[in-house]
Amino acid sequence: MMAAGCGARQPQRPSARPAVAPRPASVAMQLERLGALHASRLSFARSLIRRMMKDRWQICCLRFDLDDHGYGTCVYRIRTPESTYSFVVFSQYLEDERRSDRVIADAWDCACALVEGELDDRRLHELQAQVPRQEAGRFGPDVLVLSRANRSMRNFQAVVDALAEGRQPQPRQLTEVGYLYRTTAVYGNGKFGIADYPKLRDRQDLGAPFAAQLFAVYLLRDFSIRQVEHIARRRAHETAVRLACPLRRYLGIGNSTGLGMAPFLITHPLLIAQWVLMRETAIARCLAQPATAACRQRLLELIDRAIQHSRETRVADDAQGKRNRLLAAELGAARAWLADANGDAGHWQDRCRLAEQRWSLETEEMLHTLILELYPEQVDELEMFMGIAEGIDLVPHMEAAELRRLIESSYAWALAIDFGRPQAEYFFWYKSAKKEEPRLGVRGEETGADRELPLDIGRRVQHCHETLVDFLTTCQDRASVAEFLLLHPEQRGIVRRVQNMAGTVMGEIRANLLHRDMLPMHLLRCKLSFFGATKFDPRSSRWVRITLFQGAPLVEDIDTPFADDWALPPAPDPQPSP
Amino acid sequence: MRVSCNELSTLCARAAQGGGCADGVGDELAEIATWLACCDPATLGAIHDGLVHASSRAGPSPATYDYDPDSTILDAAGDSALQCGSMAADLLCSRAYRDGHATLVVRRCHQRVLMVGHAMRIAARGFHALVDWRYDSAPPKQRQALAVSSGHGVAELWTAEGPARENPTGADGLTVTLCAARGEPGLARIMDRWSGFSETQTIDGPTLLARRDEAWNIGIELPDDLWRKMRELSAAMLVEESEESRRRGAGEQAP
Repeated sequence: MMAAGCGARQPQRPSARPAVAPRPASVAMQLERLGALHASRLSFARSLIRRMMKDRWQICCLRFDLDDHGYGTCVYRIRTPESTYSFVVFSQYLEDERRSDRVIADAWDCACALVEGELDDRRLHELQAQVPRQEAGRFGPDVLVLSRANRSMRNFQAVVDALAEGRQPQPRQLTEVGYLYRTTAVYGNGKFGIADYPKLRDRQDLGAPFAAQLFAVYLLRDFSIRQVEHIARRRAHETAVRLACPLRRYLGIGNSTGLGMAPFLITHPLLIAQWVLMRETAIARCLAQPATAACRQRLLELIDRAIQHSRETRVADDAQGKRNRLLAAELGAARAWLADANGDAGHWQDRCRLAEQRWSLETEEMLHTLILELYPEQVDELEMFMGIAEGIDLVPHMEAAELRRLIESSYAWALAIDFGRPQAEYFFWYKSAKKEEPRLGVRGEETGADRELPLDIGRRVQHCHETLVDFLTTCQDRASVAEFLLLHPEQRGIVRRVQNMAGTVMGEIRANLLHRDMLPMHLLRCKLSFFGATKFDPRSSRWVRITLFQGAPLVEDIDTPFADDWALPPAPDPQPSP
Repeated sequence: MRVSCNELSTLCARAAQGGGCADGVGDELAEIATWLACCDPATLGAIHDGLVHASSRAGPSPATYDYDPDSTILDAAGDSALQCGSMAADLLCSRAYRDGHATLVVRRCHQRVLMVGHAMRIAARGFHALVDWRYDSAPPKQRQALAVSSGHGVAELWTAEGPARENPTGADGLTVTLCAARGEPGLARIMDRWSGFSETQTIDGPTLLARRDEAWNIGIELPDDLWRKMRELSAAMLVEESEESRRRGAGEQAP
């Protein structure tokens, strides 16, 4: 059963004024704001769970051949209304010193794959030979997702110990780290020979962006719980207990992400612009709703939950810790202000203006995220538009003068960057020969600037503009872009990008990614928030640990009533009943 | 070896970059590689040759163009069609947008068969596109590929062959002619060049779509040497690791 939103419960009053417009790109596409986004109803993890629960996917663990230490093979079968899939996990011993979250690691506690169809022994044997090798392996198009994960050193053994001793782990421990395993890469879309995304794109079950990857992560969460219970049972058959349901639901799955994710946001500009547009559309729709007493009450409950969730988020990074404390404090102020508000409903837009004026970006965006929870009927349908055809083509007959106008109107932010200042070109992006890991170097100090990745959109646009202005002073009237590119073929890539992005509502992420003060973390958080990540725990400015699916329904919850209200879960009661 | 479409595209783009092609050319090469694989997998060999050719040169040559009464002439100055094909297609299209039809002769151009992939791109822009080139055999032959735009979706691709024309342009083996035109009259105009040729293959739109879908579903069979060459070239853009870059570059160091 899907929860009805406030809008569905309350009689709809026609709005006395026009709908609220989405925020402009100059606001929504600022990197700092994108780096303050939170997971929401539109995040892919939420959409996936909605789909799974609505269509009652049948998930069955067919094989669980693990030894006393939890090493071995596990196979799941998944039946959706559309297809059958298998998920296979190979768990193996790993020396502590080899355990690394970096892409450059070459061994993991477990490796897994989501595969089309059912597995026979021959295919399972083939997968066993390749899946643990990850990037070094070679795969066929029946493999949809490839991933690997490492155990949480803080949690895994402690949870096994507690269960073996017949007690439940302390929820406090799970607030420190809300998972047993942390994935370090989740590959889809044709990597290492696996299935291309278009193979899945039109499917109802796994066709949404990143749905297959997130589903693999979700299944790994189930495996992690089964595995600790299994090890505890094998160690102390007489005393071992199962993990209590509230704790199982509270366990998510971790993920460690580094700079590898950052280039995606720049190399898929149409997709990112679409994601932000849908989020902004959802916010605008919800802000246009009347802030009725029932909605205000529901929002108070959600704010309370968010405050607790924020207080229970433990991070290593001081700056993020301060932001989390500020978020909790400002949400407290928002709560007091909302509770004191008079009876006049008004619209959320008027009320949220205060958030913009008074509070941090984290708080402002959290309030937006919470308001989205009030109106599923306004928000959830937008998930259908999170995908987009990404093909872009040059428009060769466009007049060069028109191209100049496009740059000046859509890329004014880029033209305003002062690249004469040394800090403006401080960094360069490159790929390391070691597993092609994306990295950041300091220009003039480190080697590799001659092989810089073209992620410097602002600088390239500015250079293109300068070249174009020169060209226009000497060319014939009405010269075309094709003629411009004949003389300046090096501008081809950026011209095509400008022509296509200028036609989008949101356009580019507005930031100079070379600047000394640029925080790659903002890029990572932006993408991860759309995935549905919570508990952002930056380990440096360049990599972050997050949690996915914390609070989500368990496999055994499928086919039971579902309220779609699992986000921002508070820690369970210290002594939950089994 | 069998690769996914995304692997082919990504590696094409990186290899073109590593091979010294102008920014953006790689992305279009990535696009045409899939079409070439769907139309005639043998043409993928031309990508290999084009990458080798491009990487053996200091960089793209400054192409020049001129007009004669009937056509635009682009001098590729010895570049591969892999390097100059995008530029040629754009110049042709910009003329065709203005006049309804256009002809472009590209001189001193290698791996001319790659222009077939660009013809598919031109057709996606709504023009019928013909590629016409002469090749050495005994006796010399003229070969043509025609991408018939459907106005929406995927074009049809016709290929044909005939005796080499007398007093030909392109007897040097380095010239290729491209024509683009809109609508039925445009197609009729292009077909004038087609007369006297024997069709060798016709792939209609649904068949081409089915082949593309198949490529998405099961991948593409790629010659090993092409895969190896692309990996080799794309590696030119990678930066060797040092202990410092390993530690700092991806943020292992605490903030």
